[in-house]
Amino acid sequence: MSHMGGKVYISADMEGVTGVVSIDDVLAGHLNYERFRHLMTQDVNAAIEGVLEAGASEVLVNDSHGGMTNILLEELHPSATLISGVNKPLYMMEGVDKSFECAMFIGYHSMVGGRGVLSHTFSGASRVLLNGRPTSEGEVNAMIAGAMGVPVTMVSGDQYAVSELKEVLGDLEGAVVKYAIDRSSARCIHPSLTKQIIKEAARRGYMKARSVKPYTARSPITLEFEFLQPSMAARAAYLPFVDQLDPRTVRVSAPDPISAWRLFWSALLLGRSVEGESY
Amino acid sequence: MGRVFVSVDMEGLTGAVSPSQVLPGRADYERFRDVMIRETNAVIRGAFEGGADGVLVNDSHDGMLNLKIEGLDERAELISGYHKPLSMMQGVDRGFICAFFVGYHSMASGEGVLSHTMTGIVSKAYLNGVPASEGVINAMVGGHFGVPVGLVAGDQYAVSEVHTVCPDAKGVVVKRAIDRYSALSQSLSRVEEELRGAAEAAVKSSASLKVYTPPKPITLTVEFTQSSLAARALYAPIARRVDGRTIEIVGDDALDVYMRFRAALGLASTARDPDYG
Repeated sequence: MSHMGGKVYISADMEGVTGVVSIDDVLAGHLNYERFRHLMTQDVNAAIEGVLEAGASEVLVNDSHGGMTNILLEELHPSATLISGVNKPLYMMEGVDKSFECAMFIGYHSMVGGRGVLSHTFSGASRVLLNGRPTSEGEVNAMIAGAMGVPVTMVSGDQYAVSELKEVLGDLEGAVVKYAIDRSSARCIHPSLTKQIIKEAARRGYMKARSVKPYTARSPITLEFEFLQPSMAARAAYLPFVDQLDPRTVRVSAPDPISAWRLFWSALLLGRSVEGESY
Repeated sequence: MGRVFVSVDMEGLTGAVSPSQVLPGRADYERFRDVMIRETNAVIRGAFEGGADGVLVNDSHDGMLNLKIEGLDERAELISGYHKPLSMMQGVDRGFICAFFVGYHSMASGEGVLSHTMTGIVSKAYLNGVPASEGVINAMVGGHFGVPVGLVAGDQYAVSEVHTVCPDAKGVVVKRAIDRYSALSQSLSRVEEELRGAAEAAVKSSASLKVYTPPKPITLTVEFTQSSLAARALYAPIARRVDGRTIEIVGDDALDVYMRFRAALGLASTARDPDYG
């Protein structure tokens, strides 16, 4: 069931990129960061090649890691356009809209508290629950895509990033590029092979775009999260729509995913603006 | 009688004209901590002489760790430290007969010494369309709890700005600004005596002081230095965008408006770029 000429949205994070296992691999200015910018771009390119081969005509890539200026435009597949830089209201999903056949997540990682490589769920929180269940960045972003009617059909990352998202989305192509041993170690597959693995998963992901249902979360959507420190939760509670449940935990609720995202993200950012958290 | 609430900032102290005098760790900071405590003690003394039952002092400058408790008049209590929901007005409630603003400075974009409004990312704030200083905004917070401003001390601009909304507050002009970084200051001992006298008079007349309550709906307009700061503040549905770098918070409850203002500033600060602002 090929559909020629469709658009694909790619959100690219870095912790789940081929070979990445350490903070020093993914933070700008750190020891191995420059190497992994190339590998991140290569993982993204592999997905682009896969969807083009399956008939897609247009790809939008959103750099979704850290300062969001990681992907090397000069090495990116020429058929793609790139969103880079910060201050994007939809953050890792900036640019997604109903014109896309499907969305794909490259270099994604598993949720906070998990055993996956560099696991976290939007930094600053030690626990994030979506409608009462622990959630990942992948699930929250799939919910945002779902609000636009766009299904997520493919993810790449370590085995936990892939299995976590499969568990909530169901019909999803997964490209496991490494097997986490610990949060800071993994058995890594060579880039020449992950390139094929990602490309093939992306190709299949595009083929099934029209048969996969966009992800929806039950309304009202509730996002509950536990900050690392009480002063962060107290600061987030300056916002009138934030309920503080205990010294470190806050909750927001909204009827639709985009509103829920806005409340969640602004509360998390405000909490994170607390300085002097060395203790 | 009742208790007096004292919010103490630092830029409006007598003699203070330079960032090096009011930022912790800088060359002249320790000297001005002493000035800060002496001006504070002067109003505490005056408040008790006027008949107050107690004084609560809220350290309201920077990291809010400036006032040294060992130097404070032993009859007063001190709030120090950061992360206070009501910030410079933390601790105020219906139990106070009046509030004093000591060491206050003029609004962002103003000509007063070290002028600013809350943080360097605000280029100007307006309350109900009129340019507003921290003193004016804090007067609104005090007013929410029925507490009038009894005294304001700072340079001539800081004092006159508060007088626009609290005309019967005792004003003590401790220095006259020449520029944002220069002023003609009165001696500390003379300032202490003026502050003491004004505090005493304020407490004695506190029953007749008018509480500041801005007309409703209350509109707090914030012009940021950069558009990305306004955009970030609006991630939270707490305000509306007026233009590229200006947002507007509207509400009927002063405290609600103030908390949304605090949240907007906190959020906006997360979008600040160290090089480009």
